[in-house]
Amino acid sequence: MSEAIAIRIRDLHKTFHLGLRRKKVPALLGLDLDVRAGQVFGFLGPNGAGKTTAIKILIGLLRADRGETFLLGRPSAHCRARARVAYLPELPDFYDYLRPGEFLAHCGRLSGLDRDTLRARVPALLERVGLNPAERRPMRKFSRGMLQRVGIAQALLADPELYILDEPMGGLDPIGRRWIKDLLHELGERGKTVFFSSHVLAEAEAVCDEAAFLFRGRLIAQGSLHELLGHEQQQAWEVLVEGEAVREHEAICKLAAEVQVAGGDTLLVLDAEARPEPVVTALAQAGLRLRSVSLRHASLEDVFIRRVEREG
Amino acid sequence: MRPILSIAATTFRESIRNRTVLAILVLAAGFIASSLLLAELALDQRVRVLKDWGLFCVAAFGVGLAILMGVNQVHKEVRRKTLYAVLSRPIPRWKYVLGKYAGTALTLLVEVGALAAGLVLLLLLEGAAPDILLLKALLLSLAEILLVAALAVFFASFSSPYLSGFFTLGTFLVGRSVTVLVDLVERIDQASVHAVLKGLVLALPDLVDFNLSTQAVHGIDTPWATVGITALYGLAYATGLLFCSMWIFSRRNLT
Ligand SMILES: Nc1ncnc2c1ncn2[C@@H]1O[C@H](COP(=O)(O)OP(=O)(O)O)[C@@H](O)[C@H]1O
Ligand SMILES: [Mg+2]
Repeated sequence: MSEAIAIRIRDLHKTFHLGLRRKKVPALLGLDLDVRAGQVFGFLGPNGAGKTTAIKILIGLLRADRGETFLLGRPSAHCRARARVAYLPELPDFYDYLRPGEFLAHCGRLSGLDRDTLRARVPALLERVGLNPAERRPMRKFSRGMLQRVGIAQALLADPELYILDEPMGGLDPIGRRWIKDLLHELGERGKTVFFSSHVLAEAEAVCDEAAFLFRGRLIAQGSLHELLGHEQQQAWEVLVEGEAVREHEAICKLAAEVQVAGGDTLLVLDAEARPEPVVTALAQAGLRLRSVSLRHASLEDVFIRRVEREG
Repeated sequence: MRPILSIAATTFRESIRNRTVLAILVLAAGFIASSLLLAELALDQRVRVLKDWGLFCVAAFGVGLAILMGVNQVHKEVRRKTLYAVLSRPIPRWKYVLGKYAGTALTLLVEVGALAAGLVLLLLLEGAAPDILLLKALLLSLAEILLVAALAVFFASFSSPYLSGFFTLGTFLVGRSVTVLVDLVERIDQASVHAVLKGLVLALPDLVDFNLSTQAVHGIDTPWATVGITALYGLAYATGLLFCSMWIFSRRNLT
């Protein structure tokens, strides 16, 4: 192995059984995944794709029906495998009557931190996640966003190598989400491996180096952001024209791959290879007014939707 | 050891601050105090009535709290996923189960201790010196309550909250009347059926000896050796239950 693998998943299968009739709900159907150390890795896919299930198996909360999972080279069912790993559960919830500081100290003791370290680190962390005003309140009085912050704090507590975060931006306001993005970025800069799940592709795109798409329990794409966006779709020019009159000019419309009406204006989307200049010239000759000319970048969302369509 | 202690301490903190449990304790104290009214009717039997009713309240509320907390501790944490943050750390699950039980037992010790202290105070106010017989009865009552808590944790490690509460209560009630069952089984002629039922009855906890209230009320002494053996039996039974719970819980899917 030339590069260290932080997470390895091989042929992972998991089916849930619901109710007395044991109705089958397949969640994972043969998942294979490698996450290299030092990456910020987005584990993406729509709700119900199986992200949380895979993460719970990685952490050892669920048992797989088939397949193997490794954390930092150790089989993940072993509790030792979690020694240098942090986990943020999806929509975390904690004890009702405990204060956040008491809870963090408890978590720290379970992670083997000594008393002096905890005494220094817990208040600093509370400050960092913005919970020091709520320090003396029992956690049952916390809002969703505050609980999410406690969750982040307990993940950061032991300063591990690998972070496994299930929907880290869930339940947070725009400022909170911005903060998480910066945090993930910073962890990446410090050489940590971050494996986070998200169903909001646009937000994930801003932070990850690599991504994998999960859909109905299977991986449908994986690669660096560059690869995923590059291969899938080349950039295309878009020309926005004032009014809808341009639709009568057949010669101009033929230059575009797609003609869309948007908010009273008309958008001409060109072929991937086509240049915009001939269109602009033609528009000028026809006496039509231009609003904008721009280069459209493919987003992860585009890539994902295309892959799903291809899967059928 | 440190993780187990931390889990126990956290469990203790969380449950000693619990409002519902606090309300039940206040209710229990009210029930014990209500024996003053009953005692009014009893005339010359005042102290006996106080002791009898007081011991009954301690046992009944103690067992109730043991079932409530033992079952709830595990289920609430699974349902609300509070244990994810705990079990995602490098500790094996058996330590979690042990810590949870230790914390629950400590909470019960404090709560039942408070009720017992209330009873003693009441007797002192009535001018009756609490004697060693009452102490023995209270000690075995506490042992029984801790055993019931272990039963609750055991059932909660594999069944739903209502079922585990129901099973625990059922086992407790049957355990209190094991002697009756033994008599019934002895009357069965068919050898194979007899053997199977006898095995089942033997597997049930025998809680008959834990109840010393009659002795305490009527001043019949029970030797310390008997009290000790009964307590040891309870300890052994609870340990066995905890081992089973740890084993089951370690293999469970936590969804
Ligand atoms: N405890 C459970 N019991 C039954 N089905 C479940 C359970 N947890 C998840 N599932 C099912 O497994 C599939 C994957 O769910 P999940 O892993 O939570 O998806 P994601 O996190 O990607 O939204 C879904 O169809 C979901 O309904
Ligand atoms: Mg999920």
